[in-house]
Amino acid sequence: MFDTLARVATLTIKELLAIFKDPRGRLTLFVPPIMQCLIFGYAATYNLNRVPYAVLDQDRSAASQDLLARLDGSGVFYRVANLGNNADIDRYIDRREALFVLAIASDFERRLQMGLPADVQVIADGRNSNTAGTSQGYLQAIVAQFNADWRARHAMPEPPIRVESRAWFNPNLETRWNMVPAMIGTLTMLQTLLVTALSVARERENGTFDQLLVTPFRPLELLAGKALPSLFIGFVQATTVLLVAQLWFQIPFAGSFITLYAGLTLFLLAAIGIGLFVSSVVGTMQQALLFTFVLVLPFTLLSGLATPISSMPRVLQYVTLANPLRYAIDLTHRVYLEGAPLWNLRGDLWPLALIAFVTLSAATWMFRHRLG
Amino acid sequence: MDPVAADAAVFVARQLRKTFRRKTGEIVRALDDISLAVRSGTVTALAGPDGAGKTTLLRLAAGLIAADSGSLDVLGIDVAAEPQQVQDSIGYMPQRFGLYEDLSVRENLNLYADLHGVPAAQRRERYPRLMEMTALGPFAGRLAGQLSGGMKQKLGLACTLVRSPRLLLLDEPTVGVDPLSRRELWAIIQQLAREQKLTVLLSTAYLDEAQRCDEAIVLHQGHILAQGGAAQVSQLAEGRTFLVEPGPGQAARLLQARLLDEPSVVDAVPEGGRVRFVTATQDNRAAVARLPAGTEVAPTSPRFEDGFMILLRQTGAERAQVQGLPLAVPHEAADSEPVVQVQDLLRKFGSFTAVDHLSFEVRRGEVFGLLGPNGAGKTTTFRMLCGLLPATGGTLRVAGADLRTAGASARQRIGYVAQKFSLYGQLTVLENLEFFCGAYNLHAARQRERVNWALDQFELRPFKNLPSEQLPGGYKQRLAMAVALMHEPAILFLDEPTSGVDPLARREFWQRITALAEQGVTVIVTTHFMEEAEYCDRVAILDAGRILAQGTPAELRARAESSEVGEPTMEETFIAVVEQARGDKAKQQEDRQAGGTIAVGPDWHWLPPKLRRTRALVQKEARQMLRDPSSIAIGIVLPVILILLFGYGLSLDVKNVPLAVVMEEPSPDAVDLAAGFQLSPYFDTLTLTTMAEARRMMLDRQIDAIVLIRENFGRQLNQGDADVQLLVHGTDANRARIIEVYSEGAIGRWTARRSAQGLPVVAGPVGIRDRLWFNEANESRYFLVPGLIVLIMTLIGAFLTALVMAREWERGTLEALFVTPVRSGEILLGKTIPNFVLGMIGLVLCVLTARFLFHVPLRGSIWLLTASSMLYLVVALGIGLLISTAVKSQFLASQITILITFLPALMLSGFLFDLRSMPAFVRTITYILPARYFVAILQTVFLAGDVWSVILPALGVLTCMAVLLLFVVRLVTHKRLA
Repeated sequence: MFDTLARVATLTIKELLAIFKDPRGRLTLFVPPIMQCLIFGYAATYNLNRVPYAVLDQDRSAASQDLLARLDGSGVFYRVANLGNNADIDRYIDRREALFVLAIASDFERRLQMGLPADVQVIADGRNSNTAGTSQGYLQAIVAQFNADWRARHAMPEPPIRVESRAWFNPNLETRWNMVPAMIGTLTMLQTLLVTALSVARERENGTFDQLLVTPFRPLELLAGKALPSLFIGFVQATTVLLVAQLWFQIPFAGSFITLYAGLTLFLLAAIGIGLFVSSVVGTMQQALLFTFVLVLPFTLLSGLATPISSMPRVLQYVTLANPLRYAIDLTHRVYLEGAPLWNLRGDLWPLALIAFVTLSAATWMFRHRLG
Repeated sequence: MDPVAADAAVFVARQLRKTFRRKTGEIVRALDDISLAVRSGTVTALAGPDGAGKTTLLRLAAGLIAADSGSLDVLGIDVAAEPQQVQDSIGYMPQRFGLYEDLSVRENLNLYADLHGVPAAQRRERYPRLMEMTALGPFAGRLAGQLSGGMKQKLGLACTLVRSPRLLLLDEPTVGVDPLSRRELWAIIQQLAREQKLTVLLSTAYLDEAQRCDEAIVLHQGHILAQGGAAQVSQLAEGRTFLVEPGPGQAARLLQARLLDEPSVVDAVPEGGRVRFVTATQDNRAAVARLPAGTEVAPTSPRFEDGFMILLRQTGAERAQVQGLPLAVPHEAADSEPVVQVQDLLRKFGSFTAVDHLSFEVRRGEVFGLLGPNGAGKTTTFRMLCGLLPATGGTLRVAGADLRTAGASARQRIGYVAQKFSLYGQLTVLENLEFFCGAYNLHAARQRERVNWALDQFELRPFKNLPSEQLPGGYKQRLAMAVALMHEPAILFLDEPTSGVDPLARREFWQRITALAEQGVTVIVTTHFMEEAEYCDRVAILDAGRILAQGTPAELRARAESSEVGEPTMEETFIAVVEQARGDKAKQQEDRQAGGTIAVGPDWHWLPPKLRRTRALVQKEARQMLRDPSSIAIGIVLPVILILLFGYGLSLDVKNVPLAVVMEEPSPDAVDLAAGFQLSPYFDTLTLTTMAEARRMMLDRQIDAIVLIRENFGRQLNQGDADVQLLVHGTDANRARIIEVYSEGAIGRWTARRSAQGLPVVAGPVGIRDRLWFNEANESRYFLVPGLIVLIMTLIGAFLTALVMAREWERGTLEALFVTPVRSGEILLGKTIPNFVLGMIGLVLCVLTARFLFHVPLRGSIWLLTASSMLYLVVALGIGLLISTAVKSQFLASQITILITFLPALMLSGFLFDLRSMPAFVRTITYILPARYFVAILQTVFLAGDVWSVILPALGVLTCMAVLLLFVVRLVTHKRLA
């Protein structure tokens, strides 16, 4: 038993030495996660804050000016042009100079005064329909406020229902609060998989694997000695991202670190199992790199990070059940933003434990099989 | 003689100096102001121990590195100024000929014939000759990666000899090559020199080869010790070389050890059962005094090796004092008990039988040599003995166990030195030793003791903090040996331990081996230096997986004696045994494999040379790509997965949101409102009665939103002032916002429905009538599927290209390629064209599926789409090449490529996220990203049409980027080694 532990420790130390000795290796441990975290934190936002629009105001009344002033004063919309006629609309939309054109008919104020519905028309650039949709949401809110004020000023009755809306855990609905904590799982998965998959492939390519195999190492000890450094690296990277999230982006951490790291341990084990499996299948470093990448992309896309899982077709929703990243992201969000205790996370924890068990067993089997 | 003044010289070096800096900061003078000349039409040997500067000199001559000072003219051309012109007209074989392991023997050979522009007629004449030399004919279709070590070396040699250049530079061409092939090789070299007036400059560790050359240059630590006819070196030892015959019952080994104890003895080696020794002067009395009285000492004629040893000794190089390598726990003395038993051992690879019913035994304390031509099955046997490879049949026992099935403790008893240096290159000497100590359960004090032992015994202490990959050749071998001995194994397996090791280090090595054997260590060793077989107690000669002969060296020599005149050397014995066995079998084989020589491919002579070479490189690249499942995975499988995922699965549209309506009191109005949510396609509604339950479900993330209808809702509504609370899970902010909008919509519609029923309600007054241009149905796949083209092009263009190029640098396959007429631009083209084609396949896949599977409209012109995609692909390829050239490592290249191309293409291109809403500094960065412009073009061409005002500027920027990148890539890619 002691011999086994000592051998595993020896191999672990060697792996870490090999990674940390090389200055470029050290850099790759920290620079990519931090850079990616910053890119995602700043760029990956569905919130809009600079929406160019053009207006075709055929009314030119006090009411239409009031509505436009509200748009311009929103801090989100900025007017790029006042159009003279319908033909100009095409130009501004086609050339992407405006995200939408707001057309106000010449009877706008007259209809309002008469108490009739007075609709405005919006022509939006649907090339990115998500952006267009979001901007429409903002616009609707401004129009709703305009309506409420108009009704109040003209003593019109209020609508019978007021919707009072509140968002839990992310009161300002910032995409960043969603993205950055999710990076803890996403980035660590990529790096852990790469490091694990490459570690055996590199030894195979350099011929050192044979040298290892003639020593008293047992297959399980080799696996453990390869898994532990990856686990360590996973923790280092997770911590790096966590620090960026808290210190740089100042996203408040609501939960307990112990809970978070407990969950991450299971997740990392699942990822390491996949990495070891890849490394037991491939022959060269190039294959290890490419196969890892081929796996990581679908894992990321099916994690619910970029697009919601509930919007996927039923079949794909089932596929996501086997995706460790799905649980990791959910778990991080819940610990980070909601402060969920361990017991509430059981729905994430047991699938992760199961996936870890399956991938590690499969890797062990493949290892024995390939050696045999 | 002034070497520089020599006329008709094809190789003239004047005051040539080259220094290197080790990672430890130490400066090494590889060549220290040397001047030399090589006469045209001669075969010249470069001899010298490790670190003499042989490889540096050859690389300088090949234009692969630049000298610090001095000049070097090759074929009358200044190499430093015109490296390409030199590379066009010389042949060069680097020490590590980077064969393409995933190409077959035939393909490797044809590639080099193509690159050198060898016409078909010449190939027809040359190929059979090369196959005869290398005996690779039967393996023409086999992948180079599956050849044995020696066969690879021979293939490298064949690739170099496909044409007859005016000057041939060979860096240790015969390392690991068996005596039969070496003989053939020399026949070719001498024939070329004689018939075609070819000049050959080669470095060699076989000093008998140097003796065969017209001229020899002895280098030592960057200085020239001797230069001139090979015979001149031999003459240095005139009158100083002797042979001693051991008395009956005396081991030659013992006499040798005694002689080596005498300081005036320069060298002592076993030879044909006797010991040959060289003394520092003609006076051998001191040496003779060391021998048992009455031992017969006879003078003998000197060889090159003797003169070489005298030269080295004159520089003050001390003969290493190898103490007897005392083991802490000596093993039991030699006895007759067999420790290694092999019975009927069989190993097949498919239909090929590598080891064919092999049987032998090795006794404790014996040094057992396995000799055999390349591909005879020696390494396969070793790997089976060490438990690295399962046997197909037969039994084997090592120390009483089969290492395949025995536990880890059985492996504690063996040590293994592989054919290729295989320790951790980036770890230092000390770290390697400590790691293997740990692997063999040596810890704490015992570990320190063993590490110190190894550092002292193998004289590694000065290098202990040097990364082991930077060790000079001989020291690498020492380290490998030290590692194998850390745990004092009872059995030692050494697979060609002395290949590529200089003559001095080889002598030390054998002294250590014999010392170990004295202490009861069993040693099994393979070698291609036949004189080393003399050190073995017993020898088996293998060919084609069978044992041809077995016995003591003397017994084997006796077998060959009858057929030869005089006493055969071990090498002659070996050749005789193998040829005799092959005999008529070879005749049969020849008949059977009449077509076994390599088919001469078309030589494409009608193409201009530039295109001919590029075509060969493209073909090579395409073959590698098709054979590697991982490039297919990234080039075809991943794009298909992405397309299907984005097309069918992933959408930013929000639907089926799990939502709970909490009705504190089921009044008719409340029930009616709840029904309004149930009707909505956006929600999966669940009706609850208490807030506590809803809260719990929200915390468990079973629902994403709660609509709270309070108990007094009905009453409030009648008063015209009801309020409904909407609580959304805000983690996914984008989704939360959409849920808010949809919920308000659902309530709004319900209110409208009520008003239609005549109940009081007021909406508006201002409403919004939306029209979404280009994407009326508001389908996110309309912009996601075309956007995928940018991801796929980036992956294939930048990521894959960076990897395949970095792999060439990492595997060292470029060195041989550089010294051909190939221009660096052609290498770049060869790399990029296949990836370009793969990228275009990705484009076609995307466009077809987008158009016909997902019905995304293509409103612009397909030609515009194709042209702009090609342009972007060129940009991506350029970035990939640039990255790989800069970092030369697959791992780093992949990291950097993801970071600076793939992620930006995903995040900062406007594919998913709106660029205008990013912070100003991020937005500024996006302007230098090619993906941004390509996404603008893609979305416009697909959904809006040929809007030139968007497309032209974007195309313009991409064109500038492409031109700039190609220019920079061209500028930074030199045919130079780092």
